[in-house]
Amino acid sequence: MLAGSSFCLKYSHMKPFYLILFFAVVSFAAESCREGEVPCTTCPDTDLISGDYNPQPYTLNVPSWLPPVPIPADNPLTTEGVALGRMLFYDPILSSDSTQSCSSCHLQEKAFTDGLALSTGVLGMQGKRSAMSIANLAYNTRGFFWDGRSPSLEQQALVPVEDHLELNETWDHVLEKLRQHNKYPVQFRKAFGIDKKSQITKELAVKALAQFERTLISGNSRYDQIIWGQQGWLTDQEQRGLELFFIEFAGEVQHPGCSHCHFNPLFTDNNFRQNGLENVPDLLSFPDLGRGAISGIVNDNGKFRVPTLRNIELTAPYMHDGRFATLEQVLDHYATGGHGVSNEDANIFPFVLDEQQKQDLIAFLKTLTDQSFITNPDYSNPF
Amino acid sequence: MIKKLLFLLASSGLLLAADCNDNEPIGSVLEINFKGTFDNAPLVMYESAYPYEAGMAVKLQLFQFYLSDIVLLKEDGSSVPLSDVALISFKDILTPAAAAQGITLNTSGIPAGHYTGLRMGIGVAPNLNSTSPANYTPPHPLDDNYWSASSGYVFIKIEGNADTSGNGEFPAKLTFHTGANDIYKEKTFQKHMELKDGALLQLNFNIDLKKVLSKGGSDFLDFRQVTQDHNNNPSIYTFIATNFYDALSLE
Repeated sequence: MLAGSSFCLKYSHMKPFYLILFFAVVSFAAESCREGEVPCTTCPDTDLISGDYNPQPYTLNVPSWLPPVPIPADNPLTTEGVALGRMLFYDPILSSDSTQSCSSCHLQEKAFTDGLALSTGVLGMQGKRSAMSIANLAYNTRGFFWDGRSPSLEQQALVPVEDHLELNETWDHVLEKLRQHNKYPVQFRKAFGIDKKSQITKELAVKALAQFERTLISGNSRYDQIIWGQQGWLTDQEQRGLELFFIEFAGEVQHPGCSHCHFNPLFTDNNFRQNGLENVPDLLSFPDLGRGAISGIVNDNGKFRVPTLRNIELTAPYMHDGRFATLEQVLDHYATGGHGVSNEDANIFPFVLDEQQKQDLIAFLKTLTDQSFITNPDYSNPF
Repeated sequence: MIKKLLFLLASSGLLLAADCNDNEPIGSVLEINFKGTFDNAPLVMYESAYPYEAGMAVKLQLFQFYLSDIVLLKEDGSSVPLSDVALISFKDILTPAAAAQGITLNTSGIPAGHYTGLRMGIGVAPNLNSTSPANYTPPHPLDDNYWSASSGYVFIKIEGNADTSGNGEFPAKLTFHTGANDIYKEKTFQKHMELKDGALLQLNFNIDLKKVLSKGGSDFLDFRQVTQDHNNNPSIYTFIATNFYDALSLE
C-alpha cells in the first residue's frame, strides 16, 4: 500500500501514453526474468547466493573408550554443515505453524528427549510413541526410530517434517521458506557450495541435520570418568549396582542380565527385541506392531529398538510408549520375566531383586548421566 | 583429415589393447556358504518346531557363531588369509527357502592356484577377543555380542524355546551363550581346490544344531534341568563348544 502510494506520487506527472509504455516495458522485463526464458541482463538475479564456500572439516571429539564414528562418504562433517544442521534442528521454520522444531521433542537438558510418554506435535497433536534420546545416534547402523524404518540419519530427518503428528509441514513449503529466508541461503552455500537459492533441497537440509546429529556424542559420564578415565571411585552402592548390571550370576543367584542388550560402551546393541511388555494372545494382537509393521515379518511384531541406557536418569518416562514413569517400574517389569508370547526375547526371564538391590542398580544407572552432554554449548540452541 | 581420424582410431585401439594386456591377475572368488540344520531338517527361526531328546521339542529364535582367522591352505604349508573375523547368524533365516540358501561369506581377489584346504578358528581369536566394540567402526562383526563382565565376546549364541513336556507348548526359554579363550579352537578342513583367475568356487559348510546340543543317547542338554548357561558352568559350555567343533562340516 505504501509502495503503491509513493509510486503514484512519483510518476503522476507522466502522460497516459508514456505510462502505458512504461508499464509495458516493466512487464516485459519481469517476464524475461522468469525461469526458462531469456534471462534479463539488467535486472538483479534474486536467485543467486553470494558468499564464500570454504568448508572446513569438523573434528569430532570422541573419547577413546567409544568406537570411531562412522561417517558416510557422501556427507562428511564440516563446521559449516554442522552449524547449519544445528540451526535447522532448533528452528521452528520446519513446522507448519512455526511453533515446533526438532528440539521441541528433543530437549538437551533431558538428553534430547521430552519427558512425555507420547510426544506432542504441532497444534497439540499427540504422537504414537515416546521421543527417543538422540545421543550417539551416529553409531546406529540398524535403522532409526523405534521401529528402524529409516536406514540412515539423513532419511530419518526427512520424516518428522511431513508427519501429521509431528511438524505437519510439507518439504516443498519448508524449502520455500528456507529460500526466502534472509540467512539460510548463505548458510546452505557455506555448507554445500550451492550458487542459487533454488538449489536448496530437502536432501541438503537433511544432510545438514544429520551432520549436527552425528556430533551428539555422549561418553563422559561419571561411569566413563571412573572406569575408563581412572578418575574417582564408584560408591559402594553404585559398585553393587554395577555388579548386578554386568555380572550374570553370583554363585547360584541369577542377576537381571541387563548387559545382554545394554553392553559397553554404548549401552545398547541397537537391535530390535520383543521385551515382554504385552500380554497378548497372539502375534497379531500387539497394540503397536513396532518393527513388524516395517518388516512385514510377523515374528517382528512387538519388537522395538533397544535404547541406550546412557543418560537414562534423564529420559523418563520409559519404553516406546512411555508406560513406565520410573526406573523402579522398569525393573519391576523385567523382574516378572515377560508374558511368554512366542516371539518374546529369550533373554527376558524372571529374577528377584530386593529393595536394596533395586536401589543399588538404579544408583549405578545414574552414573551413566553425562552432565557435559546436556550442557555442551555446541549442542544448544543457536538462536 | 581422414588419415588423421584413422590414426586416432588406430592409436586408441592400441591403447585399449595395451590396457587389456597390462591387467593384473584379478584373482578368483570364493563363496563360503553355511547352512544350518536341526537333525538334518532345514534350520528356520521361530516357526519350525524340532523334535528333541526325551520327547522334548525346540523352537529357535537365534543361532549364531563367530569364526576367526579363516585362511586357505597351500601345499607348501603357507596360507592365504580370507577373513579376520566373521559373524555367521541365522537370525534372519525365517523360511525354508532362506534356509536352503544359507549364509554366504564372499571373498574375492584370491590368487589363482592349487589349495589343499581351509582353516578357521571357531569363536573369536584371542587377539580379537581382548578387544571391545570401542575398537571397531560400526557396522563390524565385533560391534555386537560383547560380554562386558568377562571382557570378551559371546562366540556362540543359541536362543529359543523348549517344549519340555511334549504337549506342544514352548514355555521354557533357552539361552546358551559360550565364549572364552580356552574354548577357542581352530579346525582344518581338507579339500583340494583349483582356483582360477576370474572363476568362482563355492564351499558348502553345514552345522547341525541338534549335534551341538546332543551327542545322542543320554548325553544331551536336558532342558528339563537346564535352560540357560552363559559360560558359568564349564561342563555345559565346553559340551557345546566341543560339539560345535565336531558338528561343523564341509560337504
